[in-house]
Order: sequence, then C-alpha cells, then structure tokens
Amino acid sequence: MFVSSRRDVLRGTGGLAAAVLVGCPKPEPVPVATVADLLTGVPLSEAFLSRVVRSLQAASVQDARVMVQHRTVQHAARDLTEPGFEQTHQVGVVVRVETAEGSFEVASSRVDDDALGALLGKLDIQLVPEVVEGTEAPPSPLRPVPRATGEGVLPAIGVVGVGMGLFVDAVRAATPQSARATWHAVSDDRLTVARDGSVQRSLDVGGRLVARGSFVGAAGLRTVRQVYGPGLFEGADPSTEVLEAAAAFVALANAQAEALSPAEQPVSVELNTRVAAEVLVAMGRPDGGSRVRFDGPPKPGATHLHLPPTDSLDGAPLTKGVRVASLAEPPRCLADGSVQLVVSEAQLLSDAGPRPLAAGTRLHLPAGPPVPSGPPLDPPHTLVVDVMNEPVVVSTTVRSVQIHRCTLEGAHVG
Amino acid sequence: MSASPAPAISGAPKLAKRAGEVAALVRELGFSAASVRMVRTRTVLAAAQADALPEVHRHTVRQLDATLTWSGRTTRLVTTNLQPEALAAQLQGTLQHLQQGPPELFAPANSSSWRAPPPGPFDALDRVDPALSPADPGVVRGLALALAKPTGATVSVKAVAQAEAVARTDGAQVAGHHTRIDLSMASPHLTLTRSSRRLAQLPVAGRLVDLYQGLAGVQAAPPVALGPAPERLLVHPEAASRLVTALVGLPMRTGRLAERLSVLADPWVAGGLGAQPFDARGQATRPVPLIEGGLQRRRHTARHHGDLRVALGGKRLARLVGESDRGLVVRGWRRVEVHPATGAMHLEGYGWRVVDGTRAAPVPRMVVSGRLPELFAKLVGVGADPWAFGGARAPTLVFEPVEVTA
Repeated sequence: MFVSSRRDVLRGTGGLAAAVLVGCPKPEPVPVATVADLLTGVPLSEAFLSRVVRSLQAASVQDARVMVQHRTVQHAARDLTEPGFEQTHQVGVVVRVETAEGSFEVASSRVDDDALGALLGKLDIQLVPEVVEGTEAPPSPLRPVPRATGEGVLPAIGVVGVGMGLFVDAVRAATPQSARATWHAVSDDRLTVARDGSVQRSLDVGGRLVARGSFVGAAGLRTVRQVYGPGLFEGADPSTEVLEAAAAFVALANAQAEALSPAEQPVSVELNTRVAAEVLVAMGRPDGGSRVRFDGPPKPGATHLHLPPTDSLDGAPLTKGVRVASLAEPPRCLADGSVQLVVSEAQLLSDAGPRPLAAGTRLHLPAGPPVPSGPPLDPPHTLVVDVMNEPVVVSTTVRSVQIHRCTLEGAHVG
Repeated sequence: MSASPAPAISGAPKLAKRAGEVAALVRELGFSAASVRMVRTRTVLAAAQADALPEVHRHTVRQLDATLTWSGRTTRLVTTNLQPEALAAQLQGTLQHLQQGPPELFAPANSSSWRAPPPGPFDALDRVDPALSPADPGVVRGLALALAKPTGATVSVKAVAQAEAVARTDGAQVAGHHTRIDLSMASPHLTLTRSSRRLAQLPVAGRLVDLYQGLAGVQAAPPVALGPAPERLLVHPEAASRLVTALVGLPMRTGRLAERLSVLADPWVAGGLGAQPFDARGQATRPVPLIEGGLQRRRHTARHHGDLRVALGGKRLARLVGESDRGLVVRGWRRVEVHPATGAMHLEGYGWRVVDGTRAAPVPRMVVSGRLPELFAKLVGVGADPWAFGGARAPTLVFEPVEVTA
C-alpha cells in the first residue's frame, strides 16, 4: 500500500512537480538577443552596469570583470535511519581587476546597484557621473555574447525524494547490511560583464544520485556503489524506472559478491604459525594485538610474540578465503600500515573445496588486528624467521591467525 | 517550559535584531519551530610570492542558516539571498515543501529545549573581543609581501571578522562576534602556520622571517645518526599541539596514557581561537573533558566546541632543556601520520640534539614510529608554555624513553 501510494506520487508528478521545487528554479530558455534579455532576473539595472563598464574602461587597470552568481545546491540523503534534506542558495557579485600592482578582488553577497557601486569604491575606482537629464546619453558599451554553456532542468525534489525512498526500500529488501542513497543537485546561473562591455549569461545544471549498498556474499562483505543521472527521475513512469534501477543494482551487487574476482574482492586470510610470526614481526609490533604504521625496516634481534589465551579467541576455523602455509618472500610492511605478502604455498578455500593458489600470488593485508584462530603452541617455541633478509630469532606463543578484508592480486587458481 | 530571553546580544545587536525579525517571520508563515542563525563574515585574503604579483581578495557575505520545523518534519535552508522579498519567497517555498514533500526526505524534529549560556563565557569573550573591525587590506597585503620576499615562501594571510546571531522561535536570542587571522608560509620543505584572534597578537614580520630562515637552516643541516639507545624527547609546544590533536581524535580504549595528561575541549578559553559561548542553534557550549588523568573520557569530534586545552605543568621548554643531560628537542614535524582507528603512527620531525642542558647541534631528521597512545604512556613531563597560535593549546611535552631513528 505504501509503495503503491508512493508510485502514485511519482506518476502524478508528470510535470516534475515544479510547485514543490524549492530553490532550484526551472530555467526558461532565453534567446540571446539583447542585453536586457541577459539581465532577466538579475537585480542590476542595465543603465548602472553600463556606467560600471565605462568606469572600468576609464580606470587605470589592465583587465577587469564583474560577475554575478546565483548558485543553488540541493542535498538529500536517505538511508535506513536518517533522512535529510538541505538546500543552499549562494548569491553574490564579484569585481576582479588586474593592475600593475597585482590582482584585486572584492565580493559581496548583496546584489544590487548600490552594493556594486560600493565594491568599485573599495577598489578605488571612481564611478563616471550619471547622464544628466536632457543631455545626450553616450552609447552603451554593453554587448551581448551567446551562451557559452548549456542549460538543463532538474527533476523536482519531491519526485527525487519519493524515488530515493523506493530505491532504498527495494535494495533493502535484498537484505544488504546497509543501503543509502544521496541526491546532489547544482544549478549555477552566472552573468559575466567584461571591461570591453561583453555581457554573457550561462546556466549549468546537474544532478546525480549516488547509491551505496553493502551485501554479504561468498567473498565476505561487499560494498557496491552506483551513480545515476537525473534522467532516472525524468521518464514517463519514474517509479518503474527507479524500481528497475534498484533491481539492476541488487543483481549487480549479488553478481559481484558471489564471483570471486581476485583483484577486487576482499578475502579472509589464515596464516599458519610460522607465517603469522613473520608477518607480526614485519609489522614491527610483535605482541600480536595491534599493528603499527611505519615504513622503516623492522629491528633485527630476539623478539617475543604473544597472543591472547585460547578462551578469549573469537576467531572460527576459516572455511572461505585463503590459507597461507609459506611465503616466497619476506613480508613487506607498507607506509600505510598494511602488509604485502608473496605466497609460496597457499590454498583458496571455497564451497567447491580447497584449491592450490599459484606461487607468486600477492596478498595485501590491511591495517587491523589479526584474529588468533588455531591452537596455541607450547611456549616457548622458537622459530627462525627471515625478515627483510635479517635473521631473527623469535620465541613465540603465536597461533595461526586470521586477517579479514584482504586483497588478492595476480592470483591463479589451480 | 518557556525560555527566558538571552541577556547577551550586545556583541552584534543589529544582526540579532535581524535574526529576531526573520524568526518572527518564520513563525508568522506557519512553521512550528525554527532556529535562525545570521552570520556576517568579512574576509581579507592576501597571497604573495617573491617572484609574482600579489593577490588581494575582500569578501563580505551575509548568510542565513535556518533549521526549520513543521509538524515534526525538519529541514535546513542556507541562503545569502537576504532581500526581504526573496527571503520570504524562499521560506514560503520551504514551508510548502515541508507540507507537500515526501516524508522520506525529512529528519524528525529536534525537541531539545534551549540552554541559556551562563554569563561567564560571554564575559570572557567580551574581554578579549572588543568591538573589532576587519583588518585593513593594505596591512594584510603588506604583511604578506614582507614575509614572501626575504624567505621565498608562498605566503597567504587571511583575516576574518565574523558576527553571528541566533534567534529561535521559542524566544531565545544570542549574539556575538570574533575575529581571526591565519598566516601560512610554505615552501616545498617547510610550512609555518600561525593563527590568532588579532593581527597584533602575531609575531612581527621580522621575527617570523628570522624563525622561518632558522628552521629552514635546521632542515638543511647534515644528517645526524641516531639510536639505538632510547632518547628523552622534548617536544616544542607547536609540535606537541599536533600530537595532542591526533591523540584526542583516536577511538576510545586505545591504551593507557600517562596520568599527568589531561585534555579539555574548552570553548571558554579567553582569546582562544575556538572560543564561542553558543553553537549554531544558540545552545550554550560547555568545556568537555576528553582525557582526565590519563583516562580517555570521550573521543573528540566536531560536536565539541572550543580549543583543545592541556593541563599545564610548571616549567617552560628552555628550563626543561636546561635540566636535560641528553635528549632531542623536536621543533616541528615534517610529517605526522596517525592511523585514525589504530593509533599507529609515523612521525618525521626536526630539531636539535641536547647535550648537558644546551642545544648542541641541529638534527634535520628524526623518525618516531609505534602507536601514539604508547608514546603518550611515556609522557614524563608537561610544560607551562601552551601554544598560543593554534586551536590546540598544548605546552612542551617530554617523553622518555623513546626510540628515535634518523
């Protein structure tokens, strides 16, 4: 009932519900014919602008221009908990001049003849006198210039809001961990008057919907992000298009979450005791509980590794992911705290059973605490670990560990 | 419960009156509740380089930031278009949108009642903020040029004078004003920044040039071998402020810190860059303890107002250096990387070697790795010289023993 009523809302707004659109004016195409046409809706008079240009031409400046801007930004967000809508109108006038002493810019959010005159005063530019009544007016220096940029129309925010609700609910029905949609639209209306008298008006309009959903699949948690243009809400039946887009989004997410694409999918990695010890030493924090961020070589010498006792473990035996038995090269700790491994012996675990992973496959382990998973060794247990080509003697109670959200690079599954 | 009117709008009476008028208009139009914030910002920005013409920008912006509620639905309107007719049209359009728009778009209304700021913070701010006018553009430009030419650095000087007033439909009204000046001198190898409430509080140009050239000289000194013995690390207040800022942003329970460390987010610091008695909705601000006696109380977020204030010790850096037989003074950090979740850090600094209580030789590069909470577990001394040119007012911090590499 709820969904159908929302669909009715979308269908009932074939005209894009311009009545409820706030702050995003529906631009009317303005033919470039006269300066007066270009000044439509701008709170500056043509006579005063003409006077300003003559003043700029009389001033000892190398270049100068006046810009008037009306920028409208809409931001709407919809997720499972917090809806939100904000809109911003930025109106202002800017005068910029280049002189032999440098570049000077003055701006004000007040747009009228008086404010523009005051800005010129701040630049020490004297306004030329007004034309005295009864005398012959000088020819206007203003001349229109065709539009440099295009124009467009945005869907009404009411339509977008209903569409976002439909989208998020439809994605949510596919049981993602989270779903969120964000609409961001900008309408930028600019008038530029140059020192040579050219007057140009341009309007840029753009909007996009960013959808994010997190899904659980074979490779663990997978976040999918898609971007849609405003056309999603502009068809004859926006609700159908939105629901189709949501279905395609879910299908894409499912496909990505199930297919193990080694280069992109996060995987869980289990390291046996020896490899775990090497990795922990490479991290430079051989207490097993945390990682550090550094880009220097680990210190050689005797190192003690300790992990929490068995009863505090929360790791379970790995059933999907990568189990590493040995490394082809010493682990390399990167500057961001992550660790890169090149495996020698490893298995890819999946529903189809374990398959060998080719030697030379690279694993990227993100920063984050490893989870102990295997039975503890009888302490003290001594390993000789080759770290960065430095022999290290390690007394350890370390078990095998799991590290989640790792990345496989250059994998070849046998 | 009806709120009593705010006593202190004297900081920006005209703006407070305008905000009150808009709040009344909002009520007339049919909104059920609103908080209206009017801000007037005057900015002067000068940028200069030794071999280029300077740029000067002067911007004046008046802005309305309104949180508007109708029938349990809330939205936000921000606009600089304050012409009476245009503003009324925007508010009417927003109301229409609240009434007719889909419910999916709107946040629920915030029903918290108004907390009046006590007189204390207002008094404190008034003492340091007499009626201030924006900085003179010629002075700002002159300062940028005076710093850029002898140092070769890219210099920007930004002076902001801001007045703000908040009026709510429950009758509450507050207003205030403040100024701020931010200075940056940057080259590929060295960046020096200074911020204060007033131009006169900054060091004069000559001292800044001397300091910049002196620090550039430290960085250009020949490398010094360090380690393997742990060092006593004396961190200058400017460098300590960066560490404290990173530390309070870490998640809770990242580790036990030294008991002598206490940090507040304090919006009441007299002359503080972040000093403000009320927030964007007119609610009173309060000092909030972040770390007390080495225990993390809460994580510092954007919700906390004010400056970071570290509880002080009794000695300044010079005296702490004089009492050190051997150690390293960290004058600045070239690189501070702290993982926001784990606290893992990589710090790359520069400073001097201390031998027998004096600065013996420049050390152009010293690297400290590990976890930031563990570094603060080794805090053995807190100075009495809080940094005055930034939003974190940390004094000299002394850590020992610390493994430092070159």
